[in-house]
Amino acid sequence: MYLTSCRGYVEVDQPGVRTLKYTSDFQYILNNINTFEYAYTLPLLSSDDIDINSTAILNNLTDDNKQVYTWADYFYTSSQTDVNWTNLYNQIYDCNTITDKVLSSQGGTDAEKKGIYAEALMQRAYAYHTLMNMYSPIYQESTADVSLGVPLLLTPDLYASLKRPTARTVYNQIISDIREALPNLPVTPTNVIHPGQTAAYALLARTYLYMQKYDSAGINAQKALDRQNTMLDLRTLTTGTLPKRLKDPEIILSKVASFYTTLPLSSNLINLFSTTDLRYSLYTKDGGSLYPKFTGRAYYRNKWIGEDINVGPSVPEMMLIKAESLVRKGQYNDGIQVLNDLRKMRFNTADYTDLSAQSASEALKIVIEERRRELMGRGIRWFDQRRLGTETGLVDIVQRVVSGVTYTLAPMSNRYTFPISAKVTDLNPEIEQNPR
Amino acid sequence: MEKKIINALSHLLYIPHIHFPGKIKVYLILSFMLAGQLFFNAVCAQNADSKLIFGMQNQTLEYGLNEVGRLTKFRVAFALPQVNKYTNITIEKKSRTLKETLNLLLENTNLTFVFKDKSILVIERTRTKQESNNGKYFIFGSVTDLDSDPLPGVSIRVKGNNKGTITDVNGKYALEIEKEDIVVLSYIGFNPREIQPQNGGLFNVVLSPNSIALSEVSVVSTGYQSLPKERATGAFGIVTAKDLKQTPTVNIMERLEGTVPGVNFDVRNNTITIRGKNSFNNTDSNHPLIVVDGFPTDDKTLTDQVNGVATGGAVLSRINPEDIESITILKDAAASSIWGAKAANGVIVIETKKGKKGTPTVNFSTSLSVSAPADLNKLDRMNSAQYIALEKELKDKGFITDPNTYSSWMSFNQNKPVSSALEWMFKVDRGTATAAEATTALDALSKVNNYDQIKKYLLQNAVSQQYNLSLSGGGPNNTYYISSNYTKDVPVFRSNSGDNYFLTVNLGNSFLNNRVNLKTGINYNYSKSVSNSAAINALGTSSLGLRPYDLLVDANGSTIKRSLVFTDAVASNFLNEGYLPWTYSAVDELNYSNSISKENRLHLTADLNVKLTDWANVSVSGSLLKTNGTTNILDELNSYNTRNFINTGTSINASTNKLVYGVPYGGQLITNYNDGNDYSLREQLNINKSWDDKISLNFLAGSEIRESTGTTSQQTRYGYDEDTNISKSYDPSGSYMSVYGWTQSLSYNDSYVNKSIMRFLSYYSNASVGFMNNKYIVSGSARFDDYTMAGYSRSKRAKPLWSSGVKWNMKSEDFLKSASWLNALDLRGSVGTSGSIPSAASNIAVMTISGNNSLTNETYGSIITPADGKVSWELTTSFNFGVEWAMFNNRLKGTFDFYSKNTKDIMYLLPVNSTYGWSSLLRNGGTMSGHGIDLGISGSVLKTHGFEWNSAFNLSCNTNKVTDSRFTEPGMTTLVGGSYPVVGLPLDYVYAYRWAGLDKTGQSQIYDSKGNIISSTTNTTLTSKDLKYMGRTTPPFFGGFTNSVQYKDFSLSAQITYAMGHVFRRPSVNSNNYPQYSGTYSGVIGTSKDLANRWQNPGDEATTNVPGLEYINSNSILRYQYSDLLTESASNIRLRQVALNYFVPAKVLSKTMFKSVSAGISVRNLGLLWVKNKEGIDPDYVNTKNYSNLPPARNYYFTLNVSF
Repeated sequence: MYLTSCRGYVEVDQPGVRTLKYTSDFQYILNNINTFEYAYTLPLLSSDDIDINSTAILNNLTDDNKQVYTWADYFYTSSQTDVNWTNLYNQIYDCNTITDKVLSSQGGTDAEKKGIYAEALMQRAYAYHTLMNMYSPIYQESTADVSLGVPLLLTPDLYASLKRPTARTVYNQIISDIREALPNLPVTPTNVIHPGQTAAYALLARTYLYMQKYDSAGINAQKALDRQNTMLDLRTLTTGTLPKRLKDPEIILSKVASFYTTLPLSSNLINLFSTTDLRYSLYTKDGGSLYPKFTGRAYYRNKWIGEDINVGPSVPEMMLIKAESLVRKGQYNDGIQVLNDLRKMRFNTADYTDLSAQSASEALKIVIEERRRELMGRGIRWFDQRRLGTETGLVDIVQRVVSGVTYTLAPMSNRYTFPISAKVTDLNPEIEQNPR
Repeated sequence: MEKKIINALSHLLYIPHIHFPGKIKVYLILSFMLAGQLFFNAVCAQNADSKLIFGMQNQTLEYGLNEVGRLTKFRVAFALPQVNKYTNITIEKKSRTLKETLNLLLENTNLTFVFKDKSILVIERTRTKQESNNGKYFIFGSVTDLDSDPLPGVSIRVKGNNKGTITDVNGKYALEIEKEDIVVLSYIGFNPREIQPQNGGLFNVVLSPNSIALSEVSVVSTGYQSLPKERATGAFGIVTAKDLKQTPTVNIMERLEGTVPGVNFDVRNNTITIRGKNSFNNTDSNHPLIVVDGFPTDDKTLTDQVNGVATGGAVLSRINPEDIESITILKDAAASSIWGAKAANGVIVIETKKGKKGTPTVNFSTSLSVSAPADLNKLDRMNSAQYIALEKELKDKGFITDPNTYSSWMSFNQNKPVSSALEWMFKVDRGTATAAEATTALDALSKVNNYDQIKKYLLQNAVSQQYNLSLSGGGPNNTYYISSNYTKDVPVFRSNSGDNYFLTVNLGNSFLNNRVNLKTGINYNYSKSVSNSAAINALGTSSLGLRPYDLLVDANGSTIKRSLVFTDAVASNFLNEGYLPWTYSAVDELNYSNSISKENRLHLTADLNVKLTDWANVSVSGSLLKTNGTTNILDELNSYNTRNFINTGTSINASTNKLVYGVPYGGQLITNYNDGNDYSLREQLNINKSWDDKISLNFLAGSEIRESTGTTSQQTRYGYDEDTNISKSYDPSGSYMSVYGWTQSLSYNDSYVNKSIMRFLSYYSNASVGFMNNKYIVSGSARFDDYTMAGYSRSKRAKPLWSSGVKWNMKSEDFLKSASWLNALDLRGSVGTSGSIPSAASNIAVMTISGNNSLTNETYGSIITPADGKVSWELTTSFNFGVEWAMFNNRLKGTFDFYSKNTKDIMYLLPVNSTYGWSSLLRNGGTMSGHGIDLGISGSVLKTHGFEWNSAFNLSCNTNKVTDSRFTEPGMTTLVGGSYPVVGLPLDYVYAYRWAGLDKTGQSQIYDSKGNIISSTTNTTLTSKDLKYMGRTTPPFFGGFTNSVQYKDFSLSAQITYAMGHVFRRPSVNSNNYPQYSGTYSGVIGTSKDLANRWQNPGDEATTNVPGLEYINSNSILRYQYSDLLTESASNIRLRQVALNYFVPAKVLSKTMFKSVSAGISVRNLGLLWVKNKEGIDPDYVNTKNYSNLPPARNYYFTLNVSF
């Protein structure tokens, strides 16, 4: 009898398709920018950066996007998928597969394995941080032990319970993951698709910011800035020479968001700009030249360079966090100075004047305005609207009119928390829905 | 004289008679090969005591007996199986009496001889005693044709049991029978004859040729063995070469349509379904396994349709239809479970022709078919006036805006052009034309009909040609079949064609006195196809489609070129700047952008069979299939694709004002390569033993390995010059300025080289035991399969599969023996399991690696299947009960089968909570059941002298139902979409909204379950309860009905197929061809005629059901599209073919070199005889958006068959 007696005969590796076996396989998963660069879409539409004054654009919106735009009771029907939730949890699954298996993989050095492990922890922390800011009620220290977080999966188990733990549990996990990852992350990653130590501090800064722990936020922002503080000098640039994301010195970790149609910026945001602000001319474009047309301006920085909107942590964002932290500590002149360092890169020298504040509260308002200008059109504003709502007078009531109906969003409203899609809650009823 | 010499020579050298003047050389060579060790002397001998000189060295008994016969002029009759055992006999050459010689020859055997009349009968020693006392007789003789030429290989069987023999090379036979036995002699191409000898002795039989009669099929082939049909316990469907010949089409699927009950050969969709579906997956899992000459192929279909699933495209067969000896379709578990893991959907076993011992036969056949392009007036299209009216309304309602108004920031007008009718309307708005001018122009356009131009410039008569030449025959130790075929298929679309060449060599050789048999097969196929989509696109609705008034050629005969990307003015500006012409003409494109595919397939098979004893043999066989193909898609510099590509990549340098080419200037050539290698190796033990006719055993066991590897890759060349074959290098990551003012980069078009490997390992066994002279037969088979599947543990990967069956030959029972009207009655039953290999689920996470990311230049991968510990095979258990009968002197025959199937563990993409990271996962989700009946009846309705009318009718019923309760009724939109399995429903269910007419705004209304009218603007949560169940999309009843009438040398046949009980959605206004919301509408408007009947003014709702534009919304369109109004019965009866054939009578041919000559004419696609829906729409070709799906045009075939 010939070799048919051996069942090993059929056990050959298939080219291109294989079980995760080698250390490099796990790195390949993390190299997949289609998976890991995804940030979100919902906040792009829900934040008050946007005000759709054009019927044509409103008509272009799908039903679910109209629901998002008006902060409706639910966004998706039971047959529709919330891609924000799905994509972020898909990142988490991949990360969990990596943290589960990479340390016992073949063909890599110990350092390589630990590096991949750390990168996966970082990416997982980033995904949870995004999910928390979208689907968990606005974080407040006083309610962190009762407020619901998002389902917390730490292993690639397809049958685990999806009960929502407390917000504190999830945030503790995020922070401990970043801290665990930190020592094994590269000081300088190959490119901004991969998180390095700067990204870890930047994510810590962001996380603490949205937990309203401004001191810790400031400390970590400073640590990030210690490692990367390169800025784009807009005075030397035109729309044609804006760098793509891999060449952009400001980006610390690349995360992208996109929306299928160009959205008008709200007039209260546009009114914050002086026309000499280079961000006005380089980052926005007249709606009259767009299709469909509208009156006003649109965020267009990404379109000039043919990329999606970059919403990951950046050097200016770290400066803004640092400034806010200083201001909130009472060192408001120092805080404003940080802003001025930033703004020098945003105006032609002839147009530039220093900002100044007479009080901490005035300085805080200036910082927040600068945040709006610098971080406009990226959905980050939605996260800010949420956290600033916990203090009085920092965010306004937002109103939107669609088909003659006025929709209102008051600070601290339940509608600041996105509903979890019915498809998800239907399949696992243990996932508690957010109150409306 | 010449013929006599050959005859003498061949007799002398013991090879068959050859009627082949002028070809002596071949036979001399053959003769010398065979005659190496031969010597003898001969004298005439007249009786048992006459002397003859005889001797031989190391020869077989068969040889010796034949020699004795030849030398003495006695007929020597013997049964080959008994004589074959004795070899290597040496007898000293000397003079002896005939009796002495025979005694010497049979000395060490258990055989003896008797003299009867002028014959010597060689029989077993024990037999002589039994001969008279237990009613057994011995008959012998020779079988010849009308010309007294011996017929070798004639099947001689005792009716009602499996006993029998075949004639040897000289047409001789010998057979032991019982007193009452009827002996049936049958031979392909001849009328079968029955004799009832009553006594033993000499019976010479003459068979008369009948080229019309269907040949009797006595064996079924499972791919692993050939079984006498009487012993088969499973449900088999058989198509013979003769049946295939009835239909002369290029497409083998058309030849098979409607021939076998239970099998749906869907020509339109190029799919084969045997006894319905067993899996939820629509694409891969329901294909039967196709086996050619014993070895499985990876093919899922029997033909390639060059232009995808378009009935108007060229067709390439994967196998030469003329080479097919038989197609056996294994339908139930007893038949198919020997194929194990791949057999759940049935198996199609194709046997190619082998040579037969006997005179060489040369066969030549050819067919020519012609059909005119289908009638374009049958298209469900608006005329120009209606189309313009629709455009006007779209414009008036603001769905389309003037492209000339564009924003100042753009460097040029980037808006797409509008149609010529719209252009006139906008001219009035712009003030560049008066209303009167526009009206005149539009009136002129309204009168234009472009069908004549389409027919003249884009279409052609479809012509197909087939030529087949074969040579077959064989000597005592060898057989050969050699054929070659050339087929050319030219479809109605210009610049399309398919060419197919086949070469087949099947050889059989036996060595060591038939102890060792070697069969080898070589099959080579080269195919070439050219496809060009210009004509198809022009008739479609993409941006390349023609509006009803768009002409192809102007009054001067030059082609009309249209700009597609920009307005004409902008395009001509670019031309002035030095850009390539940015215009398109379908007629010009017929010359460019051809996709040319060439494929070579070489299939080698070999089978070495060694006889261990007369009841056991082992065989080792192997198969090697090598395919390699290339597809070249050449977009010449002048092709629209390339001009568009280069223009898009060209910018103008602002300072020098010169063109800057961003992409290599020249044509584009994309070459796709595919290579396949497939080998199988098999060893098998066969046992065939019987004990006293009481018990007979038929057993086989074997093991098999198979490996299938493939490589595909693609290469793109830019700047290609087709004269010099030179292309230009380029930097895929470098960026260039596009005409639009932003940068682009070419990036990599070519994926990495894609390789695949699959291995299979199988152990299998099959046994059948017949009791009481095969009155009762019990069979069983088992198989174990293992295969390459990443992520599976051994225990999950492989499963044993089994089947068993019984058969009861009732006619052999005493109580039916007297029923003379009944010729045969068999009952069969079987039960068994077969599987489907899951292809995409895994117990370990599986990833793909996708090459380098163009942005980061890093290799990246993704997890395609997560680790899911709970997946396994799909398993189908089936039960079959069958009856076969023949009555009234075999004039009415039939088979009836009832079957039921249960499939469990069906892989289904089940929704998974996306929180786990996956929105849906393939899991062993579903269970389903199916049942049905297959009925086939054939008979000779009328049979008088010179006239015969034969009819064959078959009926298939099949239904299935999802039984897994987890598949609860989904939401309304999913249910009406129809792709989600629902418990209690068949997989292909159709639900519809209850239509309630249009409201006064011209929008749809439907009834809910309580009879309330729901308007399209009401988003009340309708549930699935509000829908109406309409039926299924696949026919629950279908089959064929064939009638043939023969009168003298003419035969006339008609083929009818029918399908009943299913429904289809009549195409009308739908979400693809009609705006769904108010606002800006772009793209080509649909041309469906129903669009012209749309609601336009209040009050129209009384006369039309087609929603209007003004208040349009997506609910309205979707509810109309999926309403019961548009869901209609698809039941139909179709006349496939009428054929007239003439056979030149044998007596005319006897004076010529020809053995048979026939010629025929067939007309196909004769259309519907009856259709249930009142509009008379052909439900099989409903997608009339596209010309390529029109009912095929009437087709005329001329055929000629010659053999000599």
